[in-house]
Amino acid sequence: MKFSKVWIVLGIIALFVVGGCSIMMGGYNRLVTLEEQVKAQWSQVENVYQRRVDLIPNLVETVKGYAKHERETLQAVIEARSKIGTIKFDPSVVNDSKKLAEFQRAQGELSSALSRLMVVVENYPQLKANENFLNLQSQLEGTENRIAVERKRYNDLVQEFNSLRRRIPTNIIAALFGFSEKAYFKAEEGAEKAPKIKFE
Amino acid sequence: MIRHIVFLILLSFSVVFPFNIPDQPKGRVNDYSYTLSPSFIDRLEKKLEDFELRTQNQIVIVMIDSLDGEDIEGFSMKLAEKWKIGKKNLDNGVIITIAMAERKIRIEVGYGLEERLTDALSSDIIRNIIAPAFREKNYEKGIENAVERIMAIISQEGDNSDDMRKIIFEQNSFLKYKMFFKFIALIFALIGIFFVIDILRYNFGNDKKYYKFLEWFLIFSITLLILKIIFYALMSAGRGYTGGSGGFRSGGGGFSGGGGRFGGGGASGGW
Repeated sequence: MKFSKVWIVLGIIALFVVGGCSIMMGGYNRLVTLEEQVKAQWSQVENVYQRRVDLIPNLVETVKGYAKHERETLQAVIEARSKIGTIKFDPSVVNDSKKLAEFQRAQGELSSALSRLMVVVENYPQLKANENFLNLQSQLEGTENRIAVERKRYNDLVQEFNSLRRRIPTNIIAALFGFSEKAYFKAEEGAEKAPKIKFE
Repeated sequence: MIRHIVFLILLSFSVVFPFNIPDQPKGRVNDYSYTLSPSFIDRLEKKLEDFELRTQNQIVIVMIDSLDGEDIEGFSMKLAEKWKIGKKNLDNGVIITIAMAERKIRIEVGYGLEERLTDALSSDIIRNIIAPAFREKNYEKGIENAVERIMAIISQEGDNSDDMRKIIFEQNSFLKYKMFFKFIALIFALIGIFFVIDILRYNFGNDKKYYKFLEWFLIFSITLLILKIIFYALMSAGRGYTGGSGGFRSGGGGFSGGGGRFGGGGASGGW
């Protein structure tokens, strides 16, 4: 077997080039895949928030029928809902932490208006016994739970993306191809449930 | 002083360790609180298995002593994410979680069943079927009736298990083919590269002769080996290469989830 030195050297160089390229490509592809996942998860987050917005007209109608004296509370819910309707959000929100914070603030206002409504409702036993209201309430609870789940998943994905983006060697690729940092949902101030104290 | 130490020791014993979710469910009925009778568990297990064979839908029941301060929604979601009840891409799993000490119930519904087993229906089942029976300590009746109701709801229209089997089969064989084709493509690419190198060497190199088959074969296999090593090194270094398991029951009566996903749908309640 005759291997000339040139060919061996060339072969080794080729191997390094191929290896380097494949690492680059792998990193790039992982960034792309994760970015797509982040976007897909964002639309999932938007869906569940929209689901909550869609519930409100029915809920307000039902509560109105029983709790006529709670106009202010109901008005707050309606206003918060229409505020969300006026803000335009597209999938680029994931790249813009300011916009995401704005989205979160608008949704947070609706959250607090809704929770105030749910507290007020406790004073109307007739409403609490209404099957229609109970259905709406369970849908609202289900939706709040979905929001929590999808938001957590979104944040987990963003964390994965952002850390991949900052790690060597993918940081070079990220800078080269302009992958921007993705925005997180912040933990809501005062919205966390107070720790439950159990007495048994 | 000694009294204090004794007190502290006693206190440390009284601390209840949080319930650790096992990696795999025991079966379809997981009674970690030892509330249900073995004969009932067997019967329910059989019923749920028949139902799964008929409709592909997986229903799993989990009973625990205590949540230890965690809320049932969080616990139930952890279960769902760990066990992946339901078939992959059909996401047709349902988990009924019951915490005895807290008197809490949750029905967790997979993405694929949210349309049928809605939050309102789940809540209705908890309020009007499970809770009344549980209040009379009639746990088996409550669970059985709830399961019957859920089965009736999720096996409604569009219940064509043949179709579902076909979907699952196609998905799996597609994945296998994809891997296979990738491998074939790699080999062809290598052959092509060597062919080009061989020709270049012949035309521009010093030795004016083509490689013999044996030489050629040797280079080919060595390169393949190196590429394989690089590939495995990359695979173990970078995460995220783990493919989802096919998710079929592993025979012999064993049971596991099949990659079903959950999005927090369902309802919670208590008794």
